[in-house]
Amino acid sequence: MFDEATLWKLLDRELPPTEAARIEAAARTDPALAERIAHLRAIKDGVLGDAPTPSAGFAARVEARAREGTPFQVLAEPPRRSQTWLKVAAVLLIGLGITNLYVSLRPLRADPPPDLVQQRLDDYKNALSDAPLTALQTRQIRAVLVRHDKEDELIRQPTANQLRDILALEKRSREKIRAVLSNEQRAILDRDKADNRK
Amino acid sequence: MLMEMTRPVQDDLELVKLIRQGDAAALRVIVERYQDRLFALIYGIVRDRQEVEDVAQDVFLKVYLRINSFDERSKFYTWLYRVAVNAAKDHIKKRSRRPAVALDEDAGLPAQGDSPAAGASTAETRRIVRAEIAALPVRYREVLTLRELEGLSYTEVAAVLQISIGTVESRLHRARKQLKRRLDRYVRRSDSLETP
Repeated sequence: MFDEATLWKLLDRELPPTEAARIEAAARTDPALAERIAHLRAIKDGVLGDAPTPSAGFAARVEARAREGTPFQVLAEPPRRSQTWLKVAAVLLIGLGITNLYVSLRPLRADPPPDLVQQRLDDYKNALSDAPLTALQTRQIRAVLVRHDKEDELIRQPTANQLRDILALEKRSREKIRAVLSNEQRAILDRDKADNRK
Repeated sequence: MLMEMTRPVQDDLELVKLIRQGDAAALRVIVERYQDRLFALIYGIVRDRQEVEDVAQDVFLKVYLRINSFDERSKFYTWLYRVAVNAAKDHIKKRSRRPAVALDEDAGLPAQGDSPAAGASTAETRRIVRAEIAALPVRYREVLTLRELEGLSYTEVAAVLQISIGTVESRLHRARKQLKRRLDRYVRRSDSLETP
């Protein structure tokens, strides 16, 4: 039994001669195989045949046009591939450039005054209860301060001393810590939303 | 005939050299040598008789104007066929941006009931296949045309289309499978119509 791909190769004369001879010999004794080959040949031949032929004087007309010089429409060949991706890339690059320009030209905000930093830390101290801070709470406070710093540049990341100061406040209630943290987080979220709206 | 009398038979590369020097008469020899094959090739892809001549004319003018992009590493006809395949595909793209027009009227499917009941005859098979070729994707049409109309080997088709021989084989196989499936479906449909 020969598969169809092999039979197509036979008709295309792309099989090695020995293989082709083997199939042809088999087709002589196997009417079903011969019929399969005939059917494929009919399909193959169906592709042939009805192409138009050049009209009289075609070659002379081409020669005349060639002598005329360089017809613009011939030179102006459309691009071979779609250039949509190029357009998208160009828009992205321009957008990136404008953003970079804006960032580099934007006036830098001044560092927050030291007393403001201290004031914020004092607020924390006052808000904290007597309960000792766990390691997790310490990390949370630090994260809030750092986040706060990134969001509005009001408070810079606390220094080691400032953090130690916070950690020294061991007798504060967890509820108040949570309240302070959640207030801070809420404030940050509100700011996020406001920024997004802008 | 006149050309043959006034100009000795030259091989493609000699003519290419003359075209590089701006010899439009050398282009004419090339046109006369390849016009029939190019018409068949373009028609195989474009499937519109009305448009074949325009596309062919553009192809030969491109050959004249861009002969310097032929680097002589491949055979001239391989390069010429590549220019023609690309021009035909570009033409299809341009056409697809225009309102749809009916392709060859005479290549249309036979009306149902016209066909013989017990399978399609060879002539009818050809007619149906021709009609169905137009419905194949261009990438299948181009390999089929190069293989069947131009009689190129798999290696030559691969060189023209700049794809691997394996890709040529698989595209050819899929194209023919698709044609065969449509043909079988048509024959079955005709049989069922004829069966009381």
